[in-house]
Amino acid sequence: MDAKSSGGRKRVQDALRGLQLASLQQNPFLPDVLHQPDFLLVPEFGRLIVIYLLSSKITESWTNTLAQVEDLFEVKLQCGDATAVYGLWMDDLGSLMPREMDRFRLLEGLFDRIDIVHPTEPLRSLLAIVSEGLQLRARAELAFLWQGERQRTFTNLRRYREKRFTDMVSGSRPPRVGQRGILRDIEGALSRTGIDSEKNFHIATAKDQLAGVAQRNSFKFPVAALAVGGEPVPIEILSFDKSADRTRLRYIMTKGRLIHYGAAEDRVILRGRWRRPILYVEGNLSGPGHDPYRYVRALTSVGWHLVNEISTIPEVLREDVQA
Amino acid sequence: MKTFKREISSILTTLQGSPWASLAVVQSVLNEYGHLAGAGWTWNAKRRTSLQIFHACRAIDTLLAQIAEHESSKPTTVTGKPYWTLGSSLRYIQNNTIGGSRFIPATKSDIDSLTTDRNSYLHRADLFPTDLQLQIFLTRTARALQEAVNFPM
Repeated sequence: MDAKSSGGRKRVQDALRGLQLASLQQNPFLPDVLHQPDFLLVPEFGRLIVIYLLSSKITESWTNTLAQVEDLFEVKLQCGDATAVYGLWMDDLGSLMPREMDRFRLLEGLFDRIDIVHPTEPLRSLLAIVSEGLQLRARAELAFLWQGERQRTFTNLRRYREKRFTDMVSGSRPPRVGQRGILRDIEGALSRTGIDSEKNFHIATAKDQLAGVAQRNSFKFPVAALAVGGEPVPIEILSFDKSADRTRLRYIMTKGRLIHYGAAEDRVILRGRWRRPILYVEGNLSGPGHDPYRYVRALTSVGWHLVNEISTIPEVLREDVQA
Repeated sequence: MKTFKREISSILTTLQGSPWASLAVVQSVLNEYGHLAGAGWTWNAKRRTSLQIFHACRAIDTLLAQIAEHESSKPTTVTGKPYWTLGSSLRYIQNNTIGGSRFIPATKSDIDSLTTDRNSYLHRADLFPTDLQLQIFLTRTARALQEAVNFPM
């Protein structure tokens, strides 16, 4: 059952209204957050809490889970490390499959707190759960992750200029359906310029470490360019236009972040210098009318090198080595 | 009629929840955003957008000035100016940092655009922003503000 459609949202809102808060906003708008939280609240001046209502739909696939993780990154980066992000899981945990449970654990490992609430929880006990939950503070042990990302964002946006991406947000270029043809064209462009490639390229990530589960997941890329400057450069494909579902965009954002982190013994670490992965964009990456460069800027900030002409990929690979 | 209630409410809430909310003068910025919300109910469109841009400019001007002023008043930092403008606050923040942080270049460029827009709408006769231009202005303001309130105090 979806938390929002089941009336769960209304119940949480009622519970929050029953508390003494300095400020409460439902459906907030944070300009750099691709998927807005459900509530923004200030229990007392100087303390901000962001609430997401979560349901088992989020753990149905890694794409959905990592899209939710992206929301968390964006909130922490935009509102500050001290902002506490509180998840209310409005479903039965017992029905989750083991793989779904791994995904839930990743959320649990990253959110400042997740409380489990049954969709039909009486208002009184919901009030008690939420009231207890709002005592939370941001987890200090994750501060390195948000600070690391803030630093990376700063570096990645240092040379960002909107005008370089004008053709990516203008015009109406409908995306091709299916990746197979696009992939063939990318491999062709690489081989014509003497660059070897590898299909289904995998990169181990800190995802499992963050979830506290055994290492068994990696990020898969449709193709990677090999032997340009010694390191493989993963290439991802995004077909996008104004009507596209933004879940995949949010997933690609997290992918762009987490490939920069690895596991060392018991810790998650920021890897050393890493070749910028390439994101080939098929279609139009235009954001909303008041912020057309929103997605371009977001994707650049996490480290993707955006390309919308397949023929320029070999050139980009060589330029990046020289840079 | 665009009141931008949602955008303004989020700006207000994040500002109240930030460590900077403890500064007494930030209360005046919060009040200014309250006036901005109220301006949305002005019936005449030109008068409404004039008021909205006026309050939005004063709020971001004052907040950045307060952040720069607060930093420059610390004994170990570079002395500030007796009077801050949006441009001079921005220059101070970018050149001297606030507790080691400064705006990312893309946000700096947003604030530069805010300055240009502000100068156009407040100083040129018979020029009014459209609702879309106001929304762009508020989005840039929110981005700048949210980054600013993340600076260490």
